[in-house]
Amino acid sequence: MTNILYIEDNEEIGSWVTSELEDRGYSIEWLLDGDDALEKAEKAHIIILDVMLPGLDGFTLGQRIKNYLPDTPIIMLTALTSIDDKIQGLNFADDYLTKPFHPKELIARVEMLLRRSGQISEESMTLHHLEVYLKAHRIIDLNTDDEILLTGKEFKIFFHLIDNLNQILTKEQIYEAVWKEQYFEGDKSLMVHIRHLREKVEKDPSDPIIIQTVRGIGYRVKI
Amino acid sequence: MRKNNRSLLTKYILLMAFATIILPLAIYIAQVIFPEIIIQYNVNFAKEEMNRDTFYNRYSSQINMASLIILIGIFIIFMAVSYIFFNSIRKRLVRLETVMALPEDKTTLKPISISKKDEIGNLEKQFNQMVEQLTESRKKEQNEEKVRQELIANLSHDLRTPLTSLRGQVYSLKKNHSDIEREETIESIDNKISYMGDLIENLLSYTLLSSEKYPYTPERLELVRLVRRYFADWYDTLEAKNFEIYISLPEEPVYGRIDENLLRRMMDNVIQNVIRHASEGKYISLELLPGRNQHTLKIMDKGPGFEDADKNSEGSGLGLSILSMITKMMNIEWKIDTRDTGTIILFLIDNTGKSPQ
Repeated sequence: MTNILYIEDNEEIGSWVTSELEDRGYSIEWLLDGDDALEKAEKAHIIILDVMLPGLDGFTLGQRIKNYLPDTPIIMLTALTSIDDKIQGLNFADDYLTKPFHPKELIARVEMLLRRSGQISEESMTLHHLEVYLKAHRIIDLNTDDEILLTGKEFKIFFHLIDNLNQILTKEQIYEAVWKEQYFEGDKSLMVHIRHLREKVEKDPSDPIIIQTVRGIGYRVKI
Repeated sequence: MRKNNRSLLTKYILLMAFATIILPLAIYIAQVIFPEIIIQYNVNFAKEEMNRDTFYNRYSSQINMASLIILIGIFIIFMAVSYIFFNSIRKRLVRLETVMALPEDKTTLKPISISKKDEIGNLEKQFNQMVEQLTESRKKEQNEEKVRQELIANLSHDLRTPLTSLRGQVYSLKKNHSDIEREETIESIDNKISYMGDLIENLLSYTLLSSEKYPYTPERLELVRLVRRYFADWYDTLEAKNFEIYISLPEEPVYGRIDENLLRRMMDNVIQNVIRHASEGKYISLELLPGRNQHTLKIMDKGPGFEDADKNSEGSGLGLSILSMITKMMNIEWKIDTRDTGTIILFLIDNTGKSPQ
């Protein structure tokens, strides 16, 4: 079970967020202040942290948790203006949501961060005619029951898109995540790899449904 | 400014020097008053009948008298000169003080005519400059106050309107029995809440921007990737609202001197406005046209447009003020062309320096 540490001093918001996340099958530890946060954070897979807290503020607390547990993702709940205001203070956070946030949005971000940090709860997911094993990093074609084998780059591109499920990634973002070097406008190598990748995973590579092209922007895998 | 720094001192010394010249003058006057002393003196000396001592002995009382008169005379002249001098300074200082003292109504200080080109004159000049600055800043303050009041008035209207419709919708939720109606009402309530959230966000940005507390760190950055990434964040929302999306970005890198966060704010602001006020048009286009000196970022919609930015309620006035502040900070020229068939916003971003290749 995935443990979420949630620190929020407002009772009303705290209780609906908690029940919403519990409905999704997460186990929530909800704290009203940051006093025991460091201790409790050890068991958490992900931390949701409100900025406005009594005593130690969310920025300082988040920074401390990050220093102590660098691998645990942190989502900050804040006002956008204070992000601009304290842009340095928020560098440690993996993501942020602005109030008033939508519960659907919060759940989507939590799931994405869990996937990205490898702490996924689900073993596999079905994508059209594919079954993707997230922990084993295997892809099975459900029509033939054969495993689809990808080259190193194709594999990295595919799972980077899966890690950022439903999100549009720009060409630069994918290139820089996979090649680990600066992308220059006009580079065609990503396009070539995507084409090869589609030939393997798509039923009809000329009409891709798994890896969608978002014209002028980039690509996404959407469920 | 410091040229006349010592003119008061110089003036005083000159006056004193003049007073000292009075001494030989006094001797001359003494000669006129007591001619016999001089005559006797000269006559006796000429005859060599009398040496200095006997002369002094014989005329000692007259000599003492004359010396005393001369001394007293010089003293009086000194006193008089000093009195006149300091009195004139005192008068000018008192005048200055009266002018500087805050008048009863405590609002307006008037500038003062400059009397002479000396230290006090400089003081007066400085005072005038201060008055000018004060008047100017007071005017600015009044202006800002006016803007703020208008803003708050508009804002309370902008907040009250969605709140009213929220209440109405919640009320109708209690009565509605059809699931579809319910669903629609809830959706609309949700939209209103986001709208109010954005409005408050804008208000905070506006406050930060207008008090010049917004962090601003301009850098030479590649624009295509930033524009693409910022637009990507809106893609889902636009898609969900069935917008037709047209994007045209150059294939080569384009550089401009901008602040990343402000550019994002700028784009967010425009796209948000399009979603809010032009979703009827179901169309948005984003183009970046590189130029030799200036790049053009063009965002177009096919909404109903807005006639008057200020009178258009629903907070777009605030959005436009924020836009104009952001663009001003980044030195970006912007143009807006709005008609009932759509709105085009152009941002002209300076191409500073050459690309790194």
